[in-house]
Amino acid sequence: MPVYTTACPRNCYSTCGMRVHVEDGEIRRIEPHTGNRATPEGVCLKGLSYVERVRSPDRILEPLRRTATGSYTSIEWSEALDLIATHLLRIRAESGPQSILYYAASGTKGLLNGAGAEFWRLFGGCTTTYGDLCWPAGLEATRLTLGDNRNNAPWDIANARLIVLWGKNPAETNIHQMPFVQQAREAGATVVVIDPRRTETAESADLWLRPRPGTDGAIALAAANEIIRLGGVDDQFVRDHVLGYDEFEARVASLSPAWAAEIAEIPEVQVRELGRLLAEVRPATISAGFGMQRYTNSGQTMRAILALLAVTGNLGRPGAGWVYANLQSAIFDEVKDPLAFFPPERPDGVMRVSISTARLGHDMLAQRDPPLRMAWVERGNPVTQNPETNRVLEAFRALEFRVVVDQFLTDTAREADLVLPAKSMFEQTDVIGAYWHPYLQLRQKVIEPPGAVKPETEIYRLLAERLGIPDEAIANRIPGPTDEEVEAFLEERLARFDGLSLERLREGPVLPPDHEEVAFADLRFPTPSGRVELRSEEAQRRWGIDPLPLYHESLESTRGEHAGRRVGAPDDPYPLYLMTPNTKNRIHSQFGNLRMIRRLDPAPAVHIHPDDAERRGIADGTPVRVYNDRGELRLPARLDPGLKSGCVSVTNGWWISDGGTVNFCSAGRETDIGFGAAFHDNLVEVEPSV
Amino acid sequence: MRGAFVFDPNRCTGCSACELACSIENQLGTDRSWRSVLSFNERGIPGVPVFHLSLACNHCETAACMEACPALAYERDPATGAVLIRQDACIGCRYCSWACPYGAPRFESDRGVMGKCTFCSHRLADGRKPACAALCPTGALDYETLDEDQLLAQIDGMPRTQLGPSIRILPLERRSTAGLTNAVTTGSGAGVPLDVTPHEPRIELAGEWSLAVFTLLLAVLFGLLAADTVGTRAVSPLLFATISALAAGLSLAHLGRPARAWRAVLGIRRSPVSREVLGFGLMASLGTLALSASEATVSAAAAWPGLAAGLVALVSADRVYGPVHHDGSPVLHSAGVLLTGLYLAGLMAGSAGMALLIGGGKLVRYVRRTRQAGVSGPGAAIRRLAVASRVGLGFVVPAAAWVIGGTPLTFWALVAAVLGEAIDRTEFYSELEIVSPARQQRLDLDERLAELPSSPPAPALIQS
Ligand code: SF4
Ligand code: SF4
Repeated sequence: MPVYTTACPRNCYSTCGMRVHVEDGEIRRIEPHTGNRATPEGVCLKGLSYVERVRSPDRILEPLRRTATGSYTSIEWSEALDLIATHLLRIRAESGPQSILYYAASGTKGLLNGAGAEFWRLFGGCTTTYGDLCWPAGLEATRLTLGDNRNNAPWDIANARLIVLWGKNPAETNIHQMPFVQQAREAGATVVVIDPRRTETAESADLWLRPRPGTDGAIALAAANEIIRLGGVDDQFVRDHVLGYDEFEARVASLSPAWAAEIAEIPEVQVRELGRLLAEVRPATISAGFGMQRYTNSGQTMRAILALLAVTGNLGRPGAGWVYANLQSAIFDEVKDPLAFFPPERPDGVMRVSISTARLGHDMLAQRDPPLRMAWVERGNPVTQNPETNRVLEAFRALEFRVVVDQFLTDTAREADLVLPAKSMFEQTDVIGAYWHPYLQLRQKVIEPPGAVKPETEIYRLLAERLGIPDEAIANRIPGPTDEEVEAFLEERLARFDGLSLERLREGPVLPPDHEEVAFADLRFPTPSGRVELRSEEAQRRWGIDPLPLYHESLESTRGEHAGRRVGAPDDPYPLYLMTPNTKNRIHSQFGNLRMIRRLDPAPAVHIHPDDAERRGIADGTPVRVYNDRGELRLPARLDPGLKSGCVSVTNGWWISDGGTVNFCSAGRETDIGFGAAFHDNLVEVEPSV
Repeated sequence: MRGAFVFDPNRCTGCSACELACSIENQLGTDRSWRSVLSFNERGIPGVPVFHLSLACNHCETAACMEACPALAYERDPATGAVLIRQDACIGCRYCSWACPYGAPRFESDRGVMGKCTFCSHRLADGRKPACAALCPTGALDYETLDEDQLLAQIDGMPRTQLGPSIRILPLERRSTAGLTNAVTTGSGAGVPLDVTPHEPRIELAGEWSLAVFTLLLAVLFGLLAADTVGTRAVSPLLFATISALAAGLSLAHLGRPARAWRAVLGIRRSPVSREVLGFGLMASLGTLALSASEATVSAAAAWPGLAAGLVALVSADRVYGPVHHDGSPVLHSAGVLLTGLYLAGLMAGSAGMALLIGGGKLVRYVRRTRQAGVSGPGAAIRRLAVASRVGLGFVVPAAAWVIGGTPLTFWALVAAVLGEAIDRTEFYSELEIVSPARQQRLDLDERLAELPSSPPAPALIQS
């Protein structure tokens, strides 16, 4: 049975190396590639379920056109392409190319993803988005503080003596981090977990803090206060490598553990204990999750947490540092994240980058000169995954013509006039990076695309032909249809770097040139001052925030005032935080439709603390309505005594037909820095549904 | 030394990749796996740890499934020690699933046979670990060759057995009292009940009614034959043969593969099912012969061996329930097949001594059990009615008929007695429980909850 090296391209920390066994053109088995030191034991359950996914009876194998009755009928490629070309030409002629939205998200990784932007440029332009749903506030906080998003290699956390998993639940979202954490634990490390939910990860912690959502910044500043009180500051490191320490010390002098405990609604001793551990135990690694930085105050939150590493000198050493986003494999990017998310300072007049990803629905509707008339969506499912589902639906429905490229009839595809079948990761070769481990990996073609499926590169080429874009223009921008052309295209990009080639990648994962196993080991920080910046002038200039980290309530907090609500009043309409975490069973809205996954996780439920449930007359299993001004979901309640009282929780990514699409309730707003989406600022009420 | 699964509950995150690995490796389709991940305290009750157990077949030294199989469908692979089921020999009677405390053999309703973990012996044969162990992303599940003294199966939720399972489960280490840590900031929510019932494999009357009726008919046949043989009641051979045929049909209906029913007697050397089937077959045929024979000598020569076979069938029928009956011995249950057979024989034959002795014993046991269980809560009215009917029909009516009309008892008095027994037999089925990890979890969780301190402790810090 032939065995191929490949890698999972999902938007997932682990980006597992794989060995795929193929028999008679079918994938029979998926085993780990042990050359990936971060994921040597095995891929996750989703990775295994690819065996079903590539051959799922629900997979779209031909172009589908929506009929007058709202169902879909399959059509030939020629018909589909003619239809698109007709619309493109007409709309461009009438309103200019910028009346067309090109929306691409993070459904799959790969260098060839760039084909989309190349095509639209050749077409004469389009409208597109800035910002990102996932992680910009944390990326930008890191860039402002450390200068770059570089982390120690994943396995280095095993060297830590103190590990703080801050707002992160790797047991579900980064399962391959858990063995390294366990190794550290077995060697005597202490593990702290900070999470409002009693997660699988919290379960095995030595110390678990269960704060009110959005208050992590207060905890961090108070922990710094305690570190200073206990004499835990690394004076030498601070003197040589930190900018703004004195001001920071003065800032936190009054921010006591008691202050933070009151804000976060946790016992004061726990804040003190966190401070004591950071003051006394070295090396310490803080691994921070993404959910915590999707609040309106989260740039400052992340800067405050980073400050803990700076004052204790936990940077540039084995077992120490920041695990958030390790972008060392992003060698092909001309502009690195988070800068790549920012709208260009000088627009080129071709690509109109005018829609905030966080406010997709609002901004689509608000476009003028020209307004939007058509949209092309690929690698994404914005209807369920972007904030304010109702607004996103309204914006898509306001268009004249919608094209969605996908493998399945997602909720976004169901809005389309034309759905084009997307390739799977096994059907075209590409090169992918990662954001937890540093490897470059080949995502290799191992089977032929089924049915009439065509890779996006080919779709764009065929379309370009119909639009009269000359071959020479496309030649070096989008690879041709044969495997050889795709490989030559990739080889050319790899050849720019020493030691990189398809041949090497076929063997297994490869570390990027200049890989730092311990990030910033030379203690050179590429910030304006060359130091770790607790005080950042750029933060103030670019984002208008305080140059020092500070704590303020998030906009939509149970203690904040917003949208006319009277906080704490008996008629406070929305007193519960709706948490929308990821589950081990899906990557956002992917995989949940497979039978293998459904068997384990058949339907959504809203987790609610028994106290909150009792007050509302809700019992285990009661059908409830979760709602606010923006929308509602209906699903059964599940009592969860491990959840912080005052919070409810539904995993994100359920399709609308499942009843648990959380973004019906979320708000389209940006984070304080980085153009992220602050959709975790999300207060709701829950009541029994009648 | 033997190959064994090694499981570390401190590493397992409950991800279920091992379940999928099994489905894929063994081509079980998308809906089936031979391995299951169970979560202890899945609802996260504060103060009790949550952890997982990933279990398939433990390929025990003493394989309870193999011992229980009447069709000799199990075998042990000499090379790997794997306990294997030959699906082409399985009759689908499901008794192995009653016998295995780990829930390994599972009925495949689409094929009518049992399926279970093979230890991936095809992989072991070429030096690779079982798929689940090879693919666990955290390294929690592994396969190693271990010494006997390295085997260990002591953890909450793991049934305690003497079977010698090939597994080593490392001790659970939880350093924080996770659920208690923040007790000071939130109420306990103690007023709101959580549904903590795990999904246990159950014996449901709905699925087993054919067996319930079969065992009752077994007792009836024995009584009829006994009464005719001692000469106190003439039994029509047609009636006897008809009931026999009905019973045979019901026992076949219970099988996933009725066409292979003949295999059920192959396990005669140790399986009570085989003995039950053989005893029943002999009693039915010899009894029919005895009742229809015109020669008295032929009749007697067939009747007594027929009764002996019947006794074997009755005792074996009770012993079949040994693994799933947890309250004393099934033979001594007030609805035990042996006791019922003897009681009905006493009634039908008009043997006052036998009827009083056995019937009295049954009544005493029934009353004692009913009083222990108590009659309260929802459904109490129905339950009271059932108890009254069981005692009234089963004992009072026959006794009254006896006192008023003498022997032989009228047909209707006997029908009442059988109905009374039927009610008790129904109760017997509702008490049966398959030993399983899920059941063990329920028992152990109850114990952990009982140990919890009643007042919330101070917020937890690092425990040294
Ligand atoms: S989804 Fe993540 S953990 Fe699972 S196989 Fe893909 S990269 Fe690995
Ligand atoms: S694959 Fe491993 S970690 Fe996941 S449930 Fe199975 S034993 Fe546990």
